[in-house]
Amino acid sequence: MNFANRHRTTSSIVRVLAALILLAGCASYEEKPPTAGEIQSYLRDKPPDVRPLYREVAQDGSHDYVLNQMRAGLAALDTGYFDLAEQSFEEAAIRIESIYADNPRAASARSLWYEEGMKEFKGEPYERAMTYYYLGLLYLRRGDFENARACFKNGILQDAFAEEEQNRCDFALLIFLEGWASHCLGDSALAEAAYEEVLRLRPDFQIPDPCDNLLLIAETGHAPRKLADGVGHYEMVYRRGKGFSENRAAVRLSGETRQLYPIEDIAWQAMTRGGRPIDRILAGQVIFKKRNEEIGTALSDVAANTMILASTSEKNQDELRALSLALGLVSVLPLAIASKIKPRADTRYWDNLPDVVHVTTLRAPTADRTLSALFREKDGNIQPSLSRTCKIHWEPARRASLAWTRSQSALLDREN
Amino acid sequence: MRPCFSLCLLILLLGACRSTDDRAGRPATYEAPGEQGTLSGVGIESQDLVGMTDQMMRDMLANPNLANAQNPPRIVVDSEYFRNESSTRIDKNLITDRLRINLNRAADGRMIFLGRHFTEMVEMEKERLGETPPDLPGADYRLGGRIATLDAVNHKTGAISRYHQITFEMVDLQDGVIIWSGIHEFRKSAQDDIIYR
Repeated sequence: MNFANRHRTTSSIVRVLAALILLAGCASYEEKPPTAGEIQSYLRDKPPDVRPLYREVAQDGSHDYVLNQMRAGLAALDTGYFDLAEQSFEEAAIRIESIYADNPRAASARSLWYEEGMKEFKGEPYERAMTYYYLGLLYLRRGDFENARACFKNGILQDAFAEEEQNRCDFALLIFLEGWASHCLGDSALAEAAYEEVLRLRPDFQIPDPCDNLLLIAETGHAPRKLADGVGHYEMVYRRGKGFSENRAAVRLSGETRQLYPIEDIAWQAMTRGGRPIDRILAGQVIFKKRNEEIGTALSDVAANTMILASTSEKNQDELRALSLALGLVSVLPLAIASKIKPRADTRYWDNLPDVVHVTTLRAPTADRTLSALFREKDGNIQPSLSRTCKIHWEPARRASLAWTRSQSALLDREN
Repeated sequence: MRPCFSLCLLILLLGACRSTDDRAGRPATYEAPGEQGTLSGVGIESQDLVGMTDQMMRDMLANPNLANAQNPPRIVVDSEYFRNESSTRIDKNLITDRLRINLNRAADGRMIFLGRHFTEMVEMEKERLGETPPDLPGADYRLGGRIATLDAVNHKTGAISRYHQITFEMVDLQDGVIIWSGIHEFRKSAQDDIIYR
């Protein structure tokens, strides 16, 4: 075989090998997509306002199921479809509670060849905690204080997974709500224990009076964001939400204005979570990818130099060319491996969460009423465009009531 | 030599990648409620509920005050005074309904169970017939209890454990004396995949 023929043969092998490597890297986890009929059937009983978000629940399958239920549930809550919201958060909580000990998607997400985003979404601790927060509020609304308390306790438990010790179990909002649920049940000892814990975290918080029967909650701002940073976007960083300026909330009831206490900064909860174990895996993948790139580049440099040497050498030209081709062939492998390693962090996030949650409690007459919520900027200016009217919901036995509102709509911009 | 080398490379690369496919799904199957199911967590599950209520039922049937009284006692077993102080969300009726129904079946007249949760139904029927609603029959005993949990988390390993303590107490409604007590406890632990920690 002459040199030209040998070169063609070797090049073909290289191409075939490279193609196979690339194809092998593309092997994926497949899920049968729902048919148009199945989606229509799922959406039939969903209100038009929130239908675009529930369409995503139906369309995206298990990969984003929890995330889509979180988004849709919050939109349903914001638009007053409480039963639907409860169903969504219940679905999300069930999956959060499932232990993924032998899950093929989870195994794939850990491997070299897939992005972290391959895994089924369960959210970071602050997102899981917020799922329990909303589910707990929905239980409070209908007077199931015991299950509401169980939800808040579960939310606190999610925060216990934080890597930074000083920021572990510091979700004051949920600890306060655990106390409020006990307060509504008449469990004063349990309520006081929870309020003491809140005071440890928020010394200036005014704990509820034993006679208080109305819980007011207002949410301001947009969700904290997850961004990919670093080489190959392997590092996940959190940034505060943007596009809003309000950070104070007040309510006007019976002619009186009452300031709400900013009890929880959700962006802070996200940013103080600390490193995740998966971050160390991703960092290892980045190093492995770099090493392969370096080895592949070095080998191909040697191959090119050998080829030059072969063309200038008077002896052993064929052997040197063969060696050059062999080195070129071998250099493809680490380069191809490096190109298929995906150390990218999973940046999917719950994007209709608030930035800060504000609360207060007071004694209110047991009547169905509405109140006005006002939102202020840092300098104290009221933003009139954000003002909202919200209803006070009394639970069936009229022992306690809840009024919940937010400055920004939870309806995300989706096409119907 | 070269074909052999290429073949090795191919095997190595193809072997490193794995395709998973769940398109076929899995048909619905019956699972014994008393055994651990295919999906589980650290909360109260059907096998805990079945085991717990069976244990309490046997224990109550062995109590002479309840099962061997000269006059069968009138008992209320419902979730009204059965408190959930735990971190597990649960419909408490699942526990008290199973307990009441199985006790009623096994007691064979040695205990009489009052259906307080059907009071409205009885009153409406009387109203429909034009009869004066009867006074509710008084109960001798009523079930109370509590579900409590103790959670532990290891943030480094992602392991979580939950200890459940479920107490049952039968209270004499004349004087508040607890004539029978039962306790069921268990602890479960689990560890999530590293990518979820």
